[in-house]
Amino acid sequence: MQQSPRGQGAGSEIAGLKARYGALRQAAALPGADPAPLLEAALAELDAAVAALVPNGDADSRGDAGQGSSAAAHAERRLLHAVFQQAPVPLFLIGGDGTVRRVNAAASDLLGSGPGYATGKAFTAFIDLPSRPAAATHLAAAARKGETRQFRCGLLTATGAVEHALAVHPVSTQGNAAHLVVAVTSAEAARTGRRGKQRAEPGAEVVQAMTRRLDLVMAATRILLENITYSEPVALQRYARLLARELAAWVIVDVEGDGQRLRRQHVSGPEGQRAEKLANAVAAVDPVPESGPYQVHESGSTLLIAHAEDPAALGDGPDGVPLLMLLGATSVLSVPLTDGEHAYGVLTLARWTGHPHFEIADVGLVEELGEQLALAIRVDRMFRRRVDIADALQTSLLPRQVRQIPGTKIAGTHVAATTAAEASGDFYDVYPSRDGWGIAIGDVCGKGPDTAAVTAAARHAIRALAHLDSDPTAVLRGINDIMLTEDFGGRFVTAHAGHLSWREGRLHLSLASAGHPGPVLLRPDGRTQMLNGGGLPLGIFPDAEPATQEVDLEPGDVVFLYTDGLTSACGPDLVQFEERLTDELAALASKEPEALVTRVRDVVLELCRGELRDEMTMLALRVGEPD
Amino acid sequence: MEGIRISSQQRDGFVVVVVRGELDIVTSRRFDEFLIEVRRDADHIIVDLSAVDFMDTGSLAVIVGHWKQVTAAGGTLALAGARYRYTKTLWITGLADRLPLYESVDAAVAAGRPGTGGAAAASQS
Repeated sequence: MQQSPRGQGAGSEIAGLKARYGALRQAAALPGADPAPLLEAALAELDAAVAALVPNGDADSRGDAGQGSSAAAHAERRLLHAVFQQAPVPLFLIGGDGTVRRVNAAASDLLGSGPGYATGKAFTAFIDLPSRPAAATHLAAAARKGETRQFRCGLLTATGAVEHALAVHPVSTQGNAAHLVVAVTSAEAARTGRRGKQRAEPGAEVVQAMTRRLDLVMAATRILLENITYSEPVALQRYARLLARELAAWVIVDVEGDGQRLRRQHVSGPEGQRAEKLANAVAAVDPVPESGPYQVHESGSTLLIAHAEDPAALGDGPDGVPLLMLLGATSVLSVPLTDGEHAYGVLTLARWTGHPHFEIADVGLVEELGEQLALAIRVDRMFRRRVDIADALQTSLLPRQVRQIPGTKIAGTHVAATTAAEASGDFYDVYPSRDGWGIAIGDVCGKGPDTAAVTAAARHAIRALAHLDSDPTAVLRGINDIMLTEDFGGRFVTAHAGHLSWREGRLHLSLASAGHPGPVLLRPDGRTQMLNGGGLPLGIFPDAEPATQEVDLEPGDVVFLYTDGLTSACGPDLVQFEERLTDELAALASKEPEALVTRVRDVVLELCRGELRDEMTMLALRVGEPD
Repeated sequence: MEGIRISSQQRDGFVVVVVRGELDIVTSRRFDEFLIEVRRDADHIIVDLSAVDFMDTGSLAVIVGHWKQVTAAGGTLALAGARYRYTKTLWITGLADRLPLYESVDAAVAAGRPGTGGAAAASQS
């Protein structure tokens, strides 16, 4: 500025420009520099530069030799380009159609993108959604009226949406449509402190980012594995919450429902009541065919909208407000939930104001998370289907509630083995029979994947046959025949089937046995009697004939049936419960069946220290007064 | 849950399978696998139960399964040395009367190749 240009043509003008530019740069680099006046000055210099470029000094230059003039113009252009590029203020050159024509180095830094990234995009795409309409108005007004406008708005920068002051300055060159120069003037943007630091230690920064991502993936895996026992919606919800927190984004999970329709499963966002309300509003809207998530599901391809220009990218909310706007989101990343075979839905992340936009670098991580979630859904559904089947079968093995026979009290219980997770082979049942009632207990011996099915078949076959025939011997004979027509390998069934009927004030028990341990008859005074048992297991021999026994029961009598898991239970001293069975029962003669089976169970579990090597089943029937 | 030890040896045309320990829900699987292996090369088998301390019905089902298949193929499978106190399930189920049961391995070998030891063959229908 000290060198005063004295109207000696372009050469001195450029030298002056150069000097003033250097001084401006120094001033901007001073700590605490106030960007506003600097900007004004920079803009003024730019004006001067534009004026110098526009050939109004035609006569002057033409007077000189043609060649020299052309070379000088070229040098000027280079200088002007450098001035624009290196100006200490972020600058955008915007075309008449509102798209970015050029950005300088400071602006690239501000956006956190490489040079050329912004070129060709609508300038408003870099403005935070809430301030976008106002910004568009300012830009249009500046272009129309040819005046400088200043306003504040949120700019989507490398560090998220940050409020900045913008100055829009129209620039027109001869014969060309008006351009706008937008200068960004806020302290954070003008200074490069933060990014400078980043550049100083890129290694540490990268390692930190990778560690963070690894931590996230591990936390996500843990959630999925831990939630195996919960329902799928719970797992998805927890997963979404984790991602929302760790990735600082809205997380929208859409899952393919019945009829292959994509429906919104869950939405998570920042903590807080307001965010929760917003999440609920978004969760209430299923993805529409025009929306990003829907298209991602259809195409199976990831969708990355680093700067969401179209507010309808996620579809509209209940009140017609675009969801993107409702969430204040400006950057969207949507990946398919696929395990490579089946598409289960879509995972969509949307970053809100104040956080960096999504980049290509995020795509890999989020796709990985999506695949992980898809695998978890698959495993969970498979697991759940099997659990459901097992549950259904278990209820078909053992009645949920024992049916009560008039004039008696009955209680049954089953305890699974602790040493092996095998499907149950024990069963018991109480059922109406022809001319009376039936009770049955049995044990499918021998293991196989379909043990539960065999057990259920045995129980229900007994029930069905007893409906037709009051003779329990005929019932067991029928079961033997049925089992022999199938190949069950070495498996066989031991069982008792009893028929009960009131005869002249006494309950008559007709008991048929097929290789099952004999029941105990417990009298009210504590006397015990082992009933016979006998017979042969069902399903091995065509000629096996059940053993039979007829017993008249008096009021107060208890018939105690069990499977061999009860008697073979033993403690560390290898003494089996069988040796104590009648003693224990004798002490319980006055108890109701419910209390009796509970007590016996407790004694057995105590004896074996909770380590039951085979499942055990008990059924106790106590005779009351006749109806 | 003491586990089991199973071994086999040749004797006079029989393969003698010696089981020591407890045959329960856990160990019966290994017992089954062992018998499958033995049956690859042998048609006449004696299972020595004299050192068995416990036998549940599931293990009995393993024996029944092999016995059915061996006899259906024309071979023999005999049980030897079972002690009532420790292998009570054989008697409770009534199968002690139907399976070829001998006092000892010697007795089983002495009986030669007695087929099913007098029991009716299982029908595979």
